[in-house]
Amino acid sequence: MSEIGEKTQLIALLIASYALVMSVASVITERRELFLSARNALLVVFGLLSISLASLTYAFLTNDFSLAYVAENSSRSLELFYKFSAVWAGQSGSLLFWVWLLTLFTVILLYQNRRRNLDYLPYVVSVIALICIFFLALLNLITSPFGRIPFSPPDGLGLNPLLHNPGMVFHPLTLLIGYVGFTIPFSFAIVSLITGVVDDTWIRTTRRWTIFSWFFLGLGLLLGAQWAYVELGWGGYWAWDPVENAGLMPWLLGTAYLHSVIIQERRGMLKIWNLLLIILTFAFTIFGTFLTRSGVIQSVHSFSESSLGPIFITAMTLFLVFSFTLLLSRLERLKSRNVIESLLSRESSFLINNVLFLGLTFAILWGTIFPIISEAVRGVKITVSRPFFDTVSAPIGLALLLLTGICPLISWRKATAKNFRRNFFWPLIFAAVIGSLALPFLPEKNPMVITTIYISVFVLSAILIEVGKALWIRMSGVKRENLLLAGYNLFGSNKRRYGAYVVHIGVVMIFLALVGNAFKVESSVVLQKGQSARIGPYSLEFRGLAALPRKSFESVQADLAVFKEGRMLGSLRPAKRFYPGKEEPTTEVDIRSTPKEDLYTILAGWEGMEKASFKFIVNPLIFWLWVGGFVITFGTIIVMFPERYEKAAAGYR
Amino acid sequence: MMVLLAVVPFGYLIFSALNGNLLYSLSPTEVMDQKVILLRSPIRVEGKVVADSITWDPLLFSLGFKITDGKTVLPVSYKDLAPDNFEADRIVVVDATLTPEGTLEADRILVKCASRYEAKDSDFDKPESPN
Repeated sequence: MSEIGEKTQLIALLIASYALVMSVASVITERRELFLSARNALLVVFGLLSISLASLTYAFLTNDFSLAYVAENSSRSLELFYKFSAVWAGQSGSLLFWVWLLTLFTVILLYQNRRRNLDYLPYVVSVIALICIFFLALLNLITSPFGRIPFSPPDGLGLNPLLHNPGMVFHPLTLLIGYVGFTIPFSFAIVSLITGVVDDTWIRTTRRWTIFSWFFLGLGLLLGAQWAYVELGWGGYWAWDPVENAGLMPWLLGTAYLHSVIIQERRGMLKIWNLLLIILTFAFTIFGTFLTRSGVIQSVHSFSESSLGPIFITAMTLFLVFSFTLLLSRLERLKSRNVIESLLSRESSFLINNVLFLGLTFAILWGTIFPIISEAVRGVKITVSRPFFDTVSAPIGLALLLLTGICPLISWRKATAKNFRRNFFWPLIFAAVIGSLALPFLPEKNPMVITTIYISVFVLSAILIEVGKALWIRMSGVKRENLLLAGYNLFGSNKRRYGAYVVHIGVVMIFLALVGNAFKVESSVVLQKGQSARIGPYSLEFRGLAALPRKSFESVQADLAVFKEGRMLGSLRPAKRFYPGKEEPTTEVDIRSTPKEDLYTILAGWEGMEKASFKFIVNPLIFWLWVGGFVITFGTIIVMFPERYEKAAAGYR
Repeated sequence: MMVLLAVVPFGYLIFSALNGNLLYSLSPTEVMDQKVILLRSPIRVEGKVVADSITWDPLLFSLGFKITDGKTVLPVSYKDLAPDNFEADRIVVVDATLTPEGTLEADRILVKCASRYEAKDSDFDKPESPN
């Protein structure tokens, strides 16, 4: 079976090359049948890669350990569910998955545009074919998931136990969808540069792709954070690790891009900026793909060790030089129709938003690659430790949060004093009053936390007042709609705007969760059976240990009774799992989650069955991190629905 | 002008944040060579966890192990739970201070899990273990 997948992977490379030649030929000769041939070729590539992916999956399901990739990432005892996820658990498998996703998206794109953008498509197909060729060449020549080992071992090494978590199944999946998705807007952007048709067709055409990719990338980050929180057993969810940064940077750039294209659509400005942003976003998604999957990440040192390193650096450099040369050659055509008239305007608030996102990305990049730079410049490797990232991102993040509130209130072009009085008065009053009411509840007065609370209330009230006003207009006056109908019609009338408000409310929730992090309480205790320990408002009683054999591991589980103000709330059962063939056990934390705080328990170890040591953590407000994620998802779905005018314009939908 | 307005505060922010958050990255051998200079200053040391060197006292939350770069072996002590993927033969990054006795007192241990993504071929060259 795996031979088939290996062959289709090779044929896919040949057919993708054919697609490139044909699409370029159709651009030169302007003959449509050549384009159709290129298009069909890409459809075939999709079919071939589907077979490759299916045959790799089949190899996992049938425990075909003659494939090195399967032997390294799976074992006989692995649960079925995780055998699927093991397909993208390693470098070559995830690259195969990457390029398969790209061809899948291309098929959808070609279908969406079967009657639109026909003069654009030959170029787009060329760009996508070229990207496919790059990845397929890597897969066929350097890192094939179908590589064999001379003798077939009786069992595989097994999937890393840490990856035995549903979060780790969906996290890479969503992250990859996000990474790959950005290829589509990027391809259109490059095509608009190549053809010199630099109006905003490419932005409108790919708007939904951009939101889709941005959403999945963000979801991927959040799922990763959740995985780290429940699985890694240190009570945190973000460590500013190079891998995490590699996922965050394209997301930040993508967010900047999502905002700045609005200015181009509305006011015809920031054209160069938008192209720059999407090129950078794409570059960072590729950077992220390689960093997380090539072993390059763990240390920047292993760059030289990884076979992909030099190829990757060369390709990246070529790509950036090419893109920026192209951008420079079109500068003349990219002049804005308008200029920013006033610093106090919605345009400038978007621009500041963009500068902040870009600045934050740069700061994180700087911190991430600092060891390489210092080694190159001074010959000593100096690393930037975690507090650097906190120090840099906190003020920039807060400024961005503040803009979330200011932006919908401030007028386009030039804000007037009247505009300020009318729109800012109540949100500021609310912020002052509610923010001050919240202060006494803070366990300690940290200026960063206080600022965040004031700003969060301001943003929330700004959004809610805007929505409330618009609802009021519908419910009073001529229409007299009821609340539900008014809400439905309001959100339906401008999905982008009101969906974005919902997303912003989710963002505020996430900021509140970050604030909670400042009030984390930890305690390490040793307990005899029957003894209790206090943490925060809780009292935990250790009721004993139990050894539990399971299918693929053995578990030692502690039983803890949780009390609060003398009342028993339930039990928590943190455990350690012993996997066959792994020396050290893995930690299974147990968490009691409430909107106010999480009680996070870790079993650290034991002596006999009567005495055990624990680490307990109270994590305030972390619940809102995940709720914020849901709210953002909901808002994104609203934004993605076609607007009424678009339906009318498109006709065929 | 606009560019300058943007660059100056960012530059200031980045450089002021770097202050006090920089660590020298060294190998165990480099640590030994510069032992006197490095005393009590924060460093980051990368090395492989020596097999059979791990001791964990769950009641004292005390982890001890040794790391090596092939030439020099350094003892490490850590007063907290080990990261979940910590085990012998793993490459770990230790943020620590060096005591006069030559022990690294770790504030943070990071396990590199490169093998998760890039399993080495050598894993299969080893003879099958009896268990």
